[in-house]
Amino acid sequence: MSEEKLLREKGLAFFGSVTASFSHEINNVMAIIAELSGLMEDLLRVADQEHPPPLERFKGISERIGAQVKRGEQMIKRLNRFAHTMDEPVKTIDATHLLEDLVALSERPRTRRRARLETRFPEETILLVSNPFLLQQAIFSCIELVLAASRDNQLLRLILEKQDGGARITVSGEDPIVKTDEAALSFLPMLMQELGGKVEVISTGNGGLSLVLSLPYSIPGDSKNHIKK
Amino acid sequence: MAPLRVLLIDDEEELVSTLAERLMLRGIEVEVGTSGAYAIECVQEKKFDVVVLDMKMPGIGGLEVMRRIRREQPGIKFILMTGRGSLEEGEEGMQEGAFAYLLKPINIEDLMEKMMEAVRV
Repeated sequence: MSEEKLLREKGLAFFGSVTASFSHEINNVMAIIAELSGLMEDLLRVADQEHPPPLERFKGISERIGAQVKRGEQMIKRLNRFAHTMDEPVKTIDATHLLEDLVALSERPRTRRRARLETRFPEETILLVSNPFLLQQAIFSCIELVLAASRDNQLLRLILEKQDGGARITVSGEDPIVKTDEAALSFLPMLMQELGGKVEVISTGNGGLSLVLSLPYSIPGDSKNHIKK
Repeated sequence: MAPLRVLLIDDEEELVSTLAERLMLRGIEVEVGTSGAYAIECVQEKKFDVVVLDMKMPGIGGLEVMRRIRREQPGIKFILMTGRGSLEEGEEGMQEGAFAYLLKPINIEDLMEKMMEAVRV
């Protein structure tokens, strides 16, 4: 398969995986709202003149509905931002904001593996001129690789740092590697090349896996032209 | 007639607690949990007529929970809840021995009907 075709297929798979995960979460929010509103109906149904509807309970349920609406709104905003990362092949990105969105995007795979997350982002703003979709795909792939490499309940670290000429993003797992997804691991360098960067795979002291992505401040001209094709 | 004893498992705590409250208002005896591991542990300690299970949960998923419990207690009936838009996942559950499956958001009257049917069989 040509490199271009592989990049397109993997990109679609990533897009599908994220939207499937988000639609699942949004469906859960809808299900909770449906149950809470159903509970209010039930309470009204069982009320009579001697047992009037419990107003305090209604207030509590209404607040719980409000909390779910807020949760749903946040998900939809994030999903919308994610969808718009495909609008422009190259744009100026605030790396911290992108990583914060990724933390939300990766919630389901992390929860499924019961992974705990530790993040370290710098206070200063790091602006990158890059392809936001491919960059999210690269970091998401690292998270999935680290999750797949170890057992459940592991500690996952996501670190963003400034470095000479760009930024460094480290995704690492503490636990010893059980298995590695070789196909995903071999695809990552291709993705990073598109972004004008590189990936290093490092074994941590206790046998864990650490993936270090080095990114330039600005995607090189060749990559820009390639991405725009 | 003794009330129906139901174990309700879903990793969304808010969903499971609200649904439980609605079932209790309908005279059902409900125990709730938010993980597959809890479901497996709970059926060893208490008796249930029906287990209502979410199919997609962190840790042990609904299908695997059903397989493990059915090995020990084949008499318990399972109703699966799936959040997927398609019916494939639910059908897979039926092939594995579930009594019924429902798509989320579920209709409580459908759930009641399925639970009653399950204990009549």
